[in-house]
Amino acid sequence: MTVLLNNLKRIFLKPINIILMIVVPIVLNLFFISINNAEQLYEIGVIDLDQSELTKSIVEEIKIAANTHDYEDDIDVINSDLLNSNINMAVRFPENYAQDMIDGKCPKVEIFAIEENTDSIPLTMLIASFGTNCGEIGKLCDGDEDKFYDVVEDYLDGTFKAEYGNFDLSKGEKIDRAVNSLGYLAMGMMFLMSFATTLLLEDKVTRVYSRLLTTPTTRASYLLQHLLSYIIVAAVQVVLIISLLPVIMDGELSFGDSFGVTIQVMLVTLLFATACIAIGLTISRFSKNNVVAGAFVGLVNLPVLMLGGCMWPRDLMPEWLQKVGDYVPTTWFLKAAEEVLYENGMGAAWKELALMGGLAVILVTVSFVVETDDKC
Amino acid sequence: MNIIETSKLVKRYKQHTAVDKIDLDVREGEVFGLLGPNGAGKSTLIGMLVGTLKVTEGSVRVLGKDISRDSSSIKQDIGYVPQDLAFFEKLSAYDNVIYWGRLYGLRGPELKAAVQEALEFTGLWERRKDTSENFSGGMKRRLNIACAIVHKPKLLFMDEPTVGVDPQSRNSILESIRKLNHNGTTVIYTSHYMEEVEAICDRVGIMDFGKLIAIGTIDQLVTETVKEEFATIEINNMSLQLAEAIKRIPGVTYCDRNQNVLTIHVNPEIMSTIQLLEMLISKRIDIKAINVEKPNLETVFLTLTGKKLRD
Repeated sequence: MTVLLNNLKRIFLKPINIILMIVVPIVLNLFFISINNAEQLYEIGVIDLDQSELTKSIVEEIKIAANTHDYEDDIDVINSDLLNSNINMAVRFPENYAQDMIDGKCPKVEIFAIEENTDSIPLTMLIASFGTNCGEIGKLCDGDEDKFYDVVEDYLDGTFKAEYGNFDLSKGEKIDRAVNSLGYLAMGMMFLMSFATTLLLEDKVTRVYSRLLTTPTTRASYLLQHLLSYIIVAAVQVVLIISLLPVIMDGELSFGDSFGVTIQVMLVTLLFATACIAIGLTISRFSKNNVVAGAFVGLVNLPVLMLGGCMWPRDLMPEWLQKVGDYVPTTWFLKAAEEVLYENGMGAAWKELALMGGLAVILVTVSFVVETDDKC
Repeated sequence: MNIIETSKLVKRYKQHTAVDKIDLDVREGEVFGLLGPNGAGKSTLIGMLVGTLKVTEGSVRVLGKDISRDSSSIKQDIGYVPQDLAFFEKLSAYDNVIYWGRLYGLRGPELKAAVQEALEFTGLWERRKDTSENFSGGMKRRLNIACAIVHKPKLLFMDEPTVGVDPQSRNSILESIRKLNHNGTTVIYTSHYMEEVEAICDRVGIMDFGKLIAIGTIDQLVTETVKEEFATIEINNMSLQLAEAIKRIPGVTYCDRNQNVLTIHVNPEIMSTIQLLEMLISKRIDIKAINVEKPNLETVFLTLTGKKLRD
């Protein structure tokens, strides 16, 4: 274990490594998540031709999750603001909307949005659902306005709020956020591991490696201890980041609602880290010096991160690129993380886990077995 | 007893033969010098002796064991001081020696005592807590040695351990090698510095083009290899005719004129340098200065390889 302990000492003695391991992933997460948060504030135009107690209540509820802007009944202005992205969507309450509800007629609310834009879908569905329910309440109240408003008030305090809460930060969205966060973590992890494994290269360049081979320590033992030391470093990083981030983000981010799920996320991330280490180890093993290794790290890591959806959603890429991305470890990692975050268990991600593990085993075996010209 | 025995040892890299059928015996307790110009195959030979390079053909026995079968137990008893400073510059001298001691299986109080001994031996104990990157060149060389002797090896390989150090540090390193040898360590020493080899080595092997072209004590090599005597003579009123006349004297095998200075090689079996000088004086030739060169390892090397060691 001499090589292993010495490696840990060398890694943790360098402040830059601590910064890369812990500080950078946290800062990256805070930065990207704050950007995402800013983007998630919907801008909604409201044309309230009814000006009833009911429509005012609905607008107040919408304000919880979005900025609202009052508009005159001018479709051209609405269209222009939609096209200029000043608003994500607009809602038009017709005259007598409330009265028609009370009369049980189920009046329609008009929604204005750009067809390809999916931002409006949750709110459209919510208002449609609200309209249907109010219509039903209206029918049951049999035209009794006071009774209608009492029931609607209860409904707004209960179901509607609950649904709205869901709209604000649904479970799916929380998981998406956690997966995004793991994507940023993957970014830091790939680079850290690639550079951490250059300790091996440092040993080769300084001839420590060839000197070490004159001791009773075998090459396999030396490489295995290197591998273990990096896995330990990765484990420290994974546990710290996944434990600290939700605390720092003050509930804005969660890696699972239960301890079990969080542990599974950590295990999946650690397996991904092992695959990263194997990549770094292989690069270092077959590179003559840091310049060559650095070039390889860039050549391998950047495409892998981009194709895997760590820098932007995979859905934004053309279909053929997404297919190429199916063969990179970052994709496997994020898919596996998504499965465990949805509480489907690690078994549901067996294929992705097997691919990551398999890649690590193959690369480590190649590093151990193949001899190079320098016989190192 | 021979501590190293090689038989018809060959190392080939594709078409290139780096070591070519070497038979080498190194005796226990001696300091054996291995000389050769760059690319002669010294490092490859040492690589095979310490077990880091695979043997293509032939056999190697170190400490009475076959390197291909008992590599691990052999490595326990050998030390290796590479030409490069092969330690961790960001760690302290103490941590470095601890590291190498552990790799040789030392633990606990035994390790601590061995580390202290190695650092005291190399004069670094007082600076043990300093990171080695702040050391002078000489101190780094000494730390390189400390890392190799911490486990008290029976056989120590030293590959140009004095490269780039000041004369004072060099003397200190040579003195420590003498002490190690006195304490029973057999040393294989390679160097480009002929005077170092002459100062500490009991026997010398000379390599060129992958072959061991001579082996023996320095006196043996000089006697057996150098058959001529060398002198430089400065003559007033030197002329071309005089130089030609000297060249024709029986026993003079080489005569080269550079202005007033003649470089002369004489075959002592026909005529000694002294006899030649007596002859020149009797002919009233005005000799201004005479320098008779005693043959040494450099002369041996030059005679055998046709080049200087540091070419």
